Amino acid sequence: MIPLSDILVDTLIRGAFYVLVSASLALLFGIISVASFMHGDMAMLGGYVTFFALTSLNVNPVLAVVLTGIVMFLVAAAIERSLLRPLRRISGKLWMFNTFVLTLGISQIMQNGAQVAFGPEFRGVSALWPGTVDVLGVSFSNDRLIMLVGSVGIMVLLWAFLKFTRLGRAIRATGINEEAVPLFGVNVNMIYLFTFGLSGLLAGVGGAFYMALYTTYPLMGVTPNLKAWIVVLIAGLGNVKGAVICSFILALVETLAIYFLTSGWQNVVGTVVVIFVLLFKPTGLFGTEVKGIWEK
Amino acid sequence: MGKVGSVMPKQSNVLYFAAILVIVAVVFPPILRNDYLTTVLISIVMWAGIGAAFDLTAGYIKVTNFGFAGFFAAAAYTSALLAADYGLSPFIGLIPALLAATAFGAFVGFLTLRLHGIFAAAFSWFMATTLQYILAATPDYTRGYEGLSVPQFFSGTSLIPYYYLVLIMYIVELGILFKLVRGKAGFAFRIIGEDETASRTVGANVTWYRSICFTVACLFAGLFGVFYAHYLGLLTPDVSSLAITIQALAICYVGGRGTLWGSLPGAILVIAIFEVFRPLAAYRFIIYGILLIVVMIWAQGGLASIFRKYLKGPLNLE
Repeated sequence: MIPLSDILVDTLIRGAFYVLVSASLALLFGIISVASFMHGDMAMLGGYVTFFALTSLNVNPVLAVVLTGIVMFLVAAAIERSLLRPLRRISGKLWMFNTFVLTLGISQIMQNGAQVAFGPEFRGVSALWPGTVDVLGVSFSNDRLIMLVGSVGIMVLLWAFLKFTRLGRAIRATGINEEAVPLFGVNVNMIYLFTFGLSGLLAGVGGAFYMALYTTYPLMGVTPNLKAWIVVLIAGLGNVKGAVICSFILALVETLAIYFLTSGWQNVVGTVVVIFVLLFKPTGLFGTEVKGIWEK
Repeated sequence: MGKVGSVMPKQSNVLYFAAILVIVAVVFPPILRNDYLTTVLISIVMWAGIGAAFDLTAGYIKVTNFGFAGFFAAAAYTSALLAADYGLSPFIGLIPALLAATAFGAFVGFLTLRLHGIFAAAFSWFMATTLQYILAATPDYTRGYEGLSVPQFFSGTSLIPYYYLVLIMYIVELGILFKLVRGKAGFAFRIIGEDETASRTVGANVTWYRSICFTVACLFAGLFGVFYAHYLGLLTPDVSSLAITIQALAICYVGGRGTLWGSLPGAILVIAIFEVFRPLAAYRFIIYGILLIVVMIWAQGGLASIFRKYLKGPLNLE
C-alpha cells in the first residue's frame, strides 16, 4: 500500500513546477497569441543561471532565484524586441503559426547552444536548505516546501499584479482586444515586451526550482514544454486560473500513473487526457470565448 | 491570385529546367560510383519528398502540422513490423503502410474538424507524441528503444537501387501533388489558407478540402516513412518525435512554402549542413534554428524566391 501522503507530496511538487511553466505559456498564448515552443527551454536556461549563480558567484539561494528571475526577464524581453517584433510587422493572420516556427528555431538554438556552452552533463546542487520539516505529519525536505510556497507565492503575486496594477490591467485588456487598447493610450509594443519578459521570469524561476530539486541539462526543457501545452489546452485558451487547477490535476494523474502503471505508460496518460478533452470540449475544461487570460 | 497572365504557363524554360534536372538526377549516381555521395543524394531526395508533403498543409491550407512525424512513423512501423514479423516484402507492405498513414491522417483530420488551426496542429502533435510513447512502452512488439531491425528493400549492398526507388517516389509524389494543387482543389486549398471564414461564406466546402489536404499530406509522409524504414534498416520510437517534424519543417520553410518544389533546394541546403557538421550535431541544430529565424523574419519566400525570379510559369504558384 502506497502512503497517501507520498502521492500528495509528489502531486504538489510536480504541480508547482507545472504551474510556473504553464503560466509562462498561458501568458504568451492567452494575451499575445504566441504559440511558444521555447518556454521549456527558458526553464532550462533559468536552471543554468541559478546553478552558476550558486556555484560560481556563491550567492545566497534566495538571491540566486531573484537573480534568475531578473536575468530571464531580460533574456525573454530581448528575444521579443529583436525577433518577435519584426515578425509581428509581417505576420498578419499567420501570426500564431509563425510564432510557433520562430520559437521552435529559438528553442533549437537554446538547447544546442546549452549543449555547446555547458556540455551534456546534468547539473544540480545537493540541497539549497538542507533538512526536513514536518507539516501536518507529512515530512517535506526544506527545498520542496520552499519551492511549493515560492510557486504559490509567485502565482499570487502574478494574480495581484494582473488584477490590481495599471500595467496588469493594460495587459489583460490587450488580451481581450488588441486593436482597441491603443485608443486608450496603451503602448502595445510595451505590453508585448513586458508580457514576454514576465513569461520568461515565470519559466526561469520554475527552472531554478526544478534545478534545485533535480538537475538541469540541455534537453531538460523538452518535457516541460509538452506538459505546459497539455495544461494550457486542457484548461482552455489563456485561462490562468484554469491552468493552475489543471497543473495540479495533471500532476495528480501522472503521479497516480507512476505508482500504478508499469514504466513507460505514465507518459501516455497526459497526452491521452488532452486528446479526449480536445475531442469532447475543444474550448478546454475551463474554456471561455474570451481571449483574456484572467477572465471575469 | 495574380493576373491571368501569370496563371497561363510560359512553359518552355521551366520544362527545360525540369528535364535537365531529371536527366542529371538519373545518370549521376552510376557515373559517380561513390557510395558516400550516393547516400547524400538519397537523403536529399528523401527529405525533399518529406518536405513537399509537409508543404502541402504548411504552404497551402496554412496549417503547420506539429505532429507530422506521427504519420511518418505510423507507416514506417506498419511496414517494418509486417516485414520483420511476417516476412512480408516491403513492396507489398507499402500498401498496408500507406493505408495506415492515410487512415491515421483521415482520423486525426476528422477529429480536428471542429478545432481551429493551432488546436488541430497541437492535437496532431499530441497524437504523434502518444504514438511515440506507446511504441516505447510496448517493447515486446516494437523492441522499443532497443530498435527494431527492419528487413531492407534490396538484398545487395549497392545503394543505386535505393536511389532510383526514392527518385521514383519523389517524382510520383510531385506529379500527383502538382496535379492536385493546380486543379480545383489547389484553388480551394489556397483560399482556405488565405481566409477560412471568407472561403466558407463564398461556398467552398472548407471541411472537405481541409481534410483532403491533411490526409494527402499524411499519405506522402507515410510513403517516405516506409522508404526510411526499409532503407535505414533500424527504427526507434524517435521517428515519431518532434525532431523529424523539425527537419521536415526546416526543409519546407527554408526551401519556400507553397511551392512544393522548394523543398528540393531546401533539402540540398539542409542536408549539406547536416553532412558538413556531421560530427558536431549541436552546431547543426543551432544552424537549423538560425535558418528558421532568418526564413521567418527576413526571407519569407525561402530559397524558392531566388529561383522564382528566373522561372515564369507553372512552377511559379503564388
